[in-house]
Amino acid sequence: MRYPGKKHLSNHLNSNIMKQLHFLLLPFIILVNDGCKKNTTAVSGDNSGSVSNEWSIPRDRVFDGGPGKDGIPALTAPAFINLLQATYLSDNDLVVGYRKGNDIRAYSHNILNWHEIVNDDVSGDKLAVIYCPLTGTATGWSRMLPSGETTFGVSGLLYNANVIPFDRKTNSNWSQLLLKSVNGELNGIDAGNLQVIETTWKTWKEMFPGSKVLSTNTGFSRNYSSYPYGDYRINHNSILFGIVPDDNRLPRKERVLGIIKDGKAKVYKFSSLAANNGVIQDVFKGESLVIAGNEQRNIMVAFENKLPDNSIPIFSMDNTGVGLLKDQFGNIWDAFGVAVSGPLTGQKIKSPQFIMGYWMAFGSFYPNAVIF
Amino acid sequence: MGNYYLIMFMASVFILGFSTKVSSQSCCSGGVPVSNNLGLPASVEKTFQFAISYDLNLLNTLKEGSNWLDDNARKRLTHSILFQSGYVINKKWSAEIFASWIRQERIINQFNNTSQTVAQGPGDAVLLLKYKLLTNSVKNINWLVGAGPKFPTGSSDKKDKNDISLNADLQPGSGSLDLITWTQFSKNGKQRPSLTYSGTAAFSLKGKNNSYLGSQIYKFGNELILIGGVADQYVANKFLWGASIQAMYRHAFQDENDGEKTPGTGGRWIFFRPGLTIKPGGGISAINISASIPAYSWVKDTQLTPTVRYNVGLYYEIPRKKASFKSFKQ
Repeated sequence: MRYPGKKHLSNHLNSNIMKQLHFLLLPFIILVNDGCKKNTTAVSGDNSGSVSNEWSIPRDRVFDGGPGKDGIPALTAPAFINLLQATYLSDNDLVVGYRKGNDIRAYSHNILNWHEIVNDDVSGDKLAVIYCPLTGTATGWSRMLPSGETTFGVSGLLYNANVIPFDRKTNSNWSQLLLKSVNGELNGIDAGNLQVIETTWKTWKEMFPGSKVLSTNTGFSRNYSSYPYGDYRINHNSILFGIVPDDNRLPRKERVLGIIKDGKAKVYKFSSLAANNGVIQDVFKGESLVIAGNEQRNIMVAFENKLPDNSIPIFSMDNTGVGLLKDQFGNIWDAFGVAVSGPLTGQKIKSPQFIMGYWMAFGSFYPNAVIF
Repeated sequence: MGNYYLIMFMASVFILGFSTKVSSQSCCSGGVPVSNNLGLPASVEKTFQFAISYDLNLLNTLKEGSNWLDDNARKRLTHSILFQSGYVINKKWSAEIFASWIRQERIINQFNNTSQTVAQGPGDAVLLLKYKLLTNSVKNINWLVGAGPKFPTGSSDKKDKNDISLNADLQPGSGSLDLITWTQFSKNGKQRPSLTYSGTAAFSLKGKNNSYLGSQIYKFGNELILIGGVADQYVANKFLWGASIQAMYRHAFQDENDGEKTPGTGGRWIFFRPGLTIKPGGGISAINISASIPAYSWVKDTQLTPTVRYNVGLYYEIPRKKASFKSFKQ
């Protein structure tokens, strides 16, 4: 390193003050200049599988949630245990249930909070249980797509704070609450609904004592007794990603049942059910429906108002354990709409597509949703 | 008398760290290394100081609270090139500017697939004005305090290649104007003057990014850094070598999103930082190499947390009485 002589130094002492200040500021100047170009130098890469940039939802409302694609690992071919073995669950924990014949399975929020998607095979039904912790919504989708059987994964993207699953067959992105693909090869294709229900662990055990429940033996190291989102589920002010519109007719996190048909939604509250002795008869989009539930047992479900033999029922609540409803013909129906006793034992009432979830989800995805 | 200075220093650390309302929170344990790299070495007046360093922060450890989770599928890398320029104005006052260029990487190895997301660009910049509160050449004591703003020069609205907005943790900049307060105390050994004990504290009071994801208000949590260490120098192979060991405590409070605490942010960490310095120019230039190894960490909720951090840097100073820019160019 060469150093200047003293003569040079004395000649330039004063004039160099400004130069030194410039030198001092040099890094700052460089960055400010570079910063001015920030929108053009936005270097980003994502090798997570290129998808079409054609979205059927506003792309500027789709956000990267942080964990990244498969950063929240979906489960495939999960393990199940019987109810007595499920010591990781408390009575008030919520579970999502699916029934195919006598194969009845519960998927706990405790595990869904960490994995969001469970790819399963329930006695031949290729089921994906999709759960979004930020909207509190659970859906059951068929894994049989026009392109063949697939499994779903978590893209790490969110639209209106709601999970965007992707199918591994085509890498298309789907909107859980719009119930269809919104990006990629399958853009516009509807998800095949396999209706699930939701209730507490206590109620589930009473209603389906012979069922099985998702095991914590998932192959991933997580604490399934903990909730990963702080006070999010009870704090109505907390939303991590913006929702539009933010409909304030109900508290954001109030759990409601939404019936979705032809792109419209109608929402039912626990308090409305309580005021109607647990059974509401209603018509939505020309369809006669029954909404039944019980806030104490923390369950709400919806059926078509017609029995399998086409007779018109008059329902009342049945809180004897396995049953949810009883009719004037002596049938007792469980929460899946299966007759567990009476003349129609084993037969099933059809359901409209319904989803339990936070009000904020229905308010944003289905603007002007009707509240019963 | 030395104890008096030590007590005063600890008192100032306490005041810096806790007099500010700590209702907000910080985090992104991924973070850009601003506070812990501030503070160019004390030097004589009219000295120009320059430092450039590369810092790599690897986060590949998943924790819930202080419990380690056996899952290394996700990896976060923050590459930072840090520029620091300083000028010792007189015996009491000095100033430094800190600027950065940041590359944020997220890599996920899951289900036999690898996905990578990158965002890079200029980071935030800091202007720190420092005042030498105390100097005692007999007792070899220096105590400096400083404060200054952190400017949101970095981009906080980067998108991925599919034009999807990235979240706050992946942005090179914070989008907020922050206030940083800083203090450093050092004392050289009596028997061995080359032996230096030092302590540093920095507190970042974070501002708000009012346009996060378009319409949200995001606030990284406030951050407290405490560093204590010892360093020594010796001559070997015609070079002046320095070795140091530091312990660093970092407390990042939870971030806030629209005024509500952000889950999975905030935590407390203790790092050990061994370092090596080579001064080939006989005390004028220095090459620094250090690593930060977490000895303890507690994170709020479940987070990826630092696995190791490396830093390599070059420090150069131009004594006013020896240097001129004209001849420097020759």
